[in-house]
Amino acid sequence: MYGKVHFAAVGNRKVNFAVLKTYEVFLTFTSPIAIVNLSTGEIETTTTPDELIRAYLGGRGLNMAYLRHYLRAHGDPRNVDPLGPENPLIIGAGMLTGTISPNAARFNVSARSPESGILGDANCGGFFAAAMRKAGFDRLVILGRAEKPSYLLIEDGKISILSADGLWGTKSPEAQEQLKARHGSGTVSAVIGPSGENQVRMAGIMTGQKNTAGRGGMGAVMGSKNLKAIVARGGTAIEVAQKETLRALRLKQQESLKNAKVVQVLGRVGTPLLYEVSNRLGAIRTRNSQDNFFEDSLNAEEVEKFSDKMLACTSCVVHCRHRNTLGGEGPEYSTLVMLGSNVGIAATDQVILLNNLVNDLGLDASSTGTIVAWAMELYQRGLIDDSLTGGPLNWGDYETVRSLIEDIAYRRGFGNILAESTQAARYFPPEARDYLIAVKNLPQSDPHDVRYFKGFALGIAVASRGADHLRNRPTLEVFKLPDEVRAGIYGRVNDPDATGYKDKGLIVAYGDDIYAVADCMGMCRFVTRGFNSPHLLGYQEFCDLISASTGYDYTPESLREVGRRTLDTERLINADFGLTRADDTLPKRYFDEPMPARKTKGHHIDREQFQMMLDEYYAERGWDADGRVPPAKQAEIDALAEKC
Amino acid sequence: MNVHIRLAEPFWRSVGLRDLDLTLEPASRVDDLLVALRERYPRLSLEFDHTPPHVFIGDEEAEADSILEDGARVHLVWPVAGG
Ligand code: SF4
Repeated sequence: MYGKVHFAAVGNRKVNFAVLKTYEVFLTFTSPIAIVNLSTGEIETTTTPDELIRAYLGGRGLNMAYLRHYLRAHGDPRNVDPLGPENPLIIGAGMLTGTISPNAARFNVSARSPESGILGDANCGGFFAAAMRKAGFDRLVILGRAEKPSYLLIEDGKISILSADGLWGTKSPEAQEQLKARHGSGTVSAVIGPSGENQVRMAGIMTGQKNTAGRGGMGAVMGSKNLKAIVARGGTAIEVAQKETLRALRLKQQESLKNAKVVQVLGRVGTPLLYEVSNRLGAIRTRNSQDNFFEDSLNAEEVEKFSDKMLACTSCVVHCRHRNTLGGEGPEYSTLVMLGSNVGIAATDQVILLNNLVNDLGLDASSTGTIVAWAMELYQRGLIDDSLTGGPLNWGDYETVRSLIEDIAYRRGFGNILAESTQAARYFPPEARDYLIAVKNLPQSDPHDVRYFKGFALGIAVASRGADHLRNRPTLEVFKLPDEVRAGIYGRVNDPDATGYKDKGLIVAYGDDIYAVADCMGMCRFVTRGFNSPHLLGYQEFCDLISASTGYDYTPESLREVGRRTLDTERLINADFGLTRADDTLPKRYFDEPMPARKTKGHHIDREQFQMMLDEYYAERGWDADGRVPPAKQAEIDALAEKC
Repeated sequence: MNVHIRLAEPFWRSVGLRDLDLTLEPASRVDDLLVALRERYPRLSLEFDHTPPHVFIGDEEAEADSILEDGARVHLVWPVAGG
């Protein structure tokens, strides 16, 4: 129950501050939003309706509500050209981003993906989203196309559209430096590199040296709008409902997180920790998944030799990111594999240099490594030759990979074809698709060959943005947890055999929901329960943080409902693009070719059993047998959409 | 008999060695090996208390009662597989 409403000027608009009667605390979370039309120069500022905030919190969830609304505003969303002015580009901070909540750093960027043609959504850390909120806005909806290269400056609740003269053509770090020089050292920017300017379908949006809103080509959408950067400047502290309670929660949760072994290890060596484990198992994507293990030269301690510091995002207690001595940040485990074993490169320094290169050019490392490896296998098999590629594509050839990545970013020669990502298939013979490691036309994000852990396979098959591990990966499958612990996490006793097919719908749906909630809140995966540890922050801890930060009260069940609603909304967006059960599938290789070596040898995905996993998953989600959201749920989401 | 052991992240940090050799009684099992390591390296023992390792002998994942052979190459890895 909310009491009297105050109005206070924030920048050039009014924002309502309601007082929660019972506790006499300020409910400050109104989630200011700006709708920027680059074609007309019009900027509308408003706040997010309370019903929408309650239903979706912020971040990914609210982005999805607005994305569906703006895509449908054009009639049939299938008519929206992903690189046309009609595609909305939505940048939304998590509900808690910029507060002192642990690891609350993140934002989502959403649009129709030019890479996959379906729902596009990328999540990113760093300092930008907190700065955007402090400058006055939680969410930007960017429409239209600027006549000339431009950038947005957000300061103190105001937005200006400025000329990007002198910025267009710069790589990501240089663009950010120039913007700091123009607007002051306190400025934080999200920018595109040359790949975004050239509308490469796997271009990301960069902030800092390495943080990338990488998935789905959101950088290409930004480039298509002639928008080089978004700059945030402003120092208004984010008001929270109960400052002291939040401070106490932060200290308590920080303490408990720091006791989690995975947090300690990530803080020391970062995600490269995972390489040796997966490699021992025989689950490392190698030479486009023709092989499943690789050299020890990409182990964490080899990477550590090139690291001089561990860095962190806003309010992070983990510090998982390397600053490398070769002029960049990273690499992550994903980059190590996608630009290492997957293209056959074993030299640690070369892989780190490639990592730095994709970051400078503003490319998504996951898609880039997958697409280059795909081309290499096509060349190996004689499905493409020098007449198309302009020269040999040999595994492990650093120089070729390096120049190919540059050619992709600048759309030169064969790089111009690969710049189309999965859509490059139209330039190749039909059987080329058999070797493409992608789902729903999105290249697989992560290094794990999913033929062994069947829950991992189901996860990338059903992930709403295409093949991606960060949507739902049931990583606890690796631990041999006792039945009662598993039942406590997932809600019922379930089959502990990670290589079997039973009960995988249950655990993937669990991951779907809690990771979606974390994305709505702006929290990092590395503090979210279920991602590499059962000891991280779960629904109750999330409820406590939301209450102290915003005054909104949830129970663990009502908070999980936010995750479910986000998943349903995403499913409805993809249904508008014509996706059906048939699209929840896997690369052909994962079905038809058994893994070649080590512990995982012989494992592949059985087609019939896979369908059984899908049935179970849809039942867990409350969808019908064709994977459709039931009419009552759709009606509820449609009613919420009216508020957008 | 001699067994070669490779310690993965983070286990090796508490020993300071990535690789080491141990002499065990013939027909020792994996749990005998873990006991021997615990006795020799108390800090590693604490790590094992916190997170029991996954044990590989060659390419095969081993159980506590798996028998070790002379010259076995054992890899102790942390159970983790996120992304
Ligand atoms: S754990 Fe890593 S990605 Fe997550 S907030 Fe911290 S530094 Fe950023």
